[in-house]
Amino acid sequence: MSTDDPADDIAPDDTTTTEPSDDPVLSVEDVKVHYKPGGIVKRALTDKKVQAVDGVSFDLYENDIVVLVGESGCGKTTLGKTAIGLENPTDGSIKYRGQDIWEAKNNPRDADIEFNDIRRSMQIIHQDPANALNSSRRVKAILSDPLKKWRTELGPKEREDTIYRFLEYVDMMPPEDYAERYPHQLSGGEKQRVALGRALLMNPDVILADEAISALDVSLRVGMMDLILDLQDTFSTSYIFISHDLANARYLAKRAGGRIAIMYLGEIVEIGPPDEILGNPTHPYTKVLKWSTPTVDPDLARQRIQEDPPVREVDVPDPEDPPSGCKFHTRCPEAREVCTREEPELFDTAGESDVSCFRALESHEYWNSTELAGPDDEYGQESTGVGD
Amino acid sequence: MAIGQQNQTTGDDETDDADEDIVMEVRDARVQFGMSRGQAWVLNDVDMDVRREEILAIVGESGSGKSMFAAALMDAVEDPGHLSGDVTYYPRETEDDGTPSTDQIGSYDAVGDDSVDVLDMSDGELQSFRWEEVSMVFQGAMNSFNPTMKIKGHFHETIQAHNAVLDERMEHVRDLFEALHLDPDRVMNSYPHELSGGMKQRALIALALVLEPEVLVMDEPTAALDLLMQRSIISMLRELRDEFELTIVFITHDLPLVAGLSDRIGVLYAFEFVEVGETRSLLKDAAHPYTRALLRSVPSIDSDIDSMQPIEGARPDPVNIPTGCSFHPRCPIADDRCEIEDPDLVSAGEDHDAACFYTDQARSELSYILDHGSTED
Repeated sequence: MSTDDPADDIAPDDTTTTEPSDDPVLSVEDVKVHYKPGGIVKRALTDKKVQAVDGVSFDLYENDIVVLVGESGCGKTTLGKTAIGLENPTDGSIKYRGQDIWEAKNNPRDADIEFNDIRRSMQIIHQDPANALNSSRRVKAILSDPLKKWRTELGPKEREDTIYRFLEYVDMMPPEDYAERYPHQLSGGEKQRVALGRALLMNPDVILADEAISALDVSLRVGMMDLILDLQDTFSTSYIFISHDLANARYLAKRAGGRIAIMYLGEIVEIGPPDEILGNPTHPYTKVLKWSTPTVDPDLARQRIQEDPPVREVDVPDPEDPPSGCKFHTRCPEAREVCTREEPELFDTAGESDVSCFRALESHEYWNSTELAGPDDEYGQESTGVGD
Repeated sequence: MAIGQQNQTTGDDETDDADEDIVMEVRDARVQFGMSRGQAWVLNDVDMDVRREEILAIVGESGSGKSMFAAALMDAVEDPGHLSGDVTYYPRETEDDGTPSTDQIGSYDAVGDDSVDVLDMSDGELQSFRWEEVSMVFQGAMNSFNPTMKIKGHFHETIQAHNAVLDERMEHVRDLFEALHLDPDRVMNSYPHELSGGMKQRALIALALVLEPEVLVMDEPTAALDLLMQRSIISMLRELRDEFELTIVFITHDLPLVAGLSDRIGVLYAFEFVEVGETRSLLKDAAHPYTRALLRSVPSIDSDIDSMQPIEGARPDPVNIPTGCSFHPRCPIADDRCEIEDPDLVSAGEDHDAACFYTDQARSELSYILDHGSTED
């Protein structure tokens, strides 16, 4: 790794990333993150665990983008943070260019890549740009901190030039003007671009963007996503993007040739290219998310508002007490008896996506298993459609 | 209905048809804030008629004045903001259905027949007006429940504060809970932390409706919820409107959210309505360049990604709103006239008005594509 490559302050594409490589930048292997719930007392008294992430594997390649999509509480942020080394997994491993990152921290002598270098190669952009920037410091000061720490060879003038150049990268013109501003003098979109610029200053290989565009106005989202994708080409960075919105996920993944991963209760239930996920969703939960995404076509929207949701129950089960077997079976309209006791793994399908549902297999016990009874709870499971 | 007819203050008179039954009328509503840099206008001489039992969506981006509009409806603009203009509320004409609000109305200052001047009320009148005639649900308001009090307590407190009959109201709450798919026994006896966000938000909607208001104003009521819950609440709102003869003003930044819900949409840009129209007509054949640009910028799950474009330029500064049409610096078809003259809302179709001189040109030159019906699974 060229973490101290001085060339990168002029040309953002550094030497290691220009040569195409089939090896993943980041490998997430069977990662589990379990929390004990509650405060100190409850924690000491209980054996209960929240399985925030429960056995997830995926690879992130050079210039790749994976968009994690799911409802709140599905573990997408925990998975993202664990993947870039901000959180220690309970089980499983995270490998950065083949080096286990927690091994690098715990046994620095045996490590090929230093933990600090790994951490610097993986940056984060938070959801709320207003809280991510120190409100009492100018943009220039905010951006010079990482340079002062990591690029000690730069003099004040060079540092300033670097800051201006990065402000230009994130479309903040003229940079001399923006550099002197405080965060409250910037719009939401501009703040988020400063945060993006700050992450890019470290010339990272991976950026975790946690709902980085959700706080922006609808009309600015496409622009921000375009900027991220342009800079991905310039800097050859890989992104883990977290979103609850399939429309945004589709836009990003489609533009960048990346993948969408659908998460449910700590697991990836379907992962694949956007056209496959949205054009031919296999997992019933993916269908639910697709159904829930509002459309702007008034005829279609008016028709959809009268449809019943394709779930047996609207509310997500308690993550402290996840259902047995397939975790989605309590809400799944297709669930059969076998789903209550057997847990599907992520199967390869005929298409390009991997799906954790028995229905993806042509021959499985599922097809002979008895169907579960329909909705039985009056509240929450019954139709929410209208008949006007 | 005759009561909605004395509005002549609008620049154009095609806005009110003879048979419109109007429940709230806003005229020349203006909100100003004094700032060190100068006067900030966060609502700029806005006119709007809210029709009885309609669902009116107010769509705008952050800083467009949409929350100010909501606050203006209830005279709830906070200091140092100053609201001027007229907000008039028209109670139901005949009271033979025995709504509990009948006797309350007499105590308000009557401007004409039965109409009520909202901006002229005393604090006490406002307090009862706000729950009994017009009620409000805010964004993330589910966090406004008192964590140490059961849901039941919140209902009792509200009912008693308004001197309503407890048993009768609680009976009504059961109907509301049913319409909102909530289990009354379970929810009533829970503390807020024991309920999911979606349940809390639904309980809050029920709380807002406990005194049977005519109008429910909702400011981004589903913004903090998951998509599925959001969709479910949207469906329930239509049911609620039909069942309880409500008028709903739904304020949001999310155009797709209201495409299936609303009867009419008002689009706010730079503290003014730039387009107001029947939902289908407005979305399918938008007349204002801003609305068209907004529709083109909305990411969707099935349209061509190349057709999605952000809106160029920055939103206007409230202290320094552009002269003429406030959208002209960002508008691709603006000319000299737009820089000088501020367009009024004029008719752009049946029940569809837009504030633009060049609606025909906008319609022919600025394209956008809605989702096409290719999403069926």
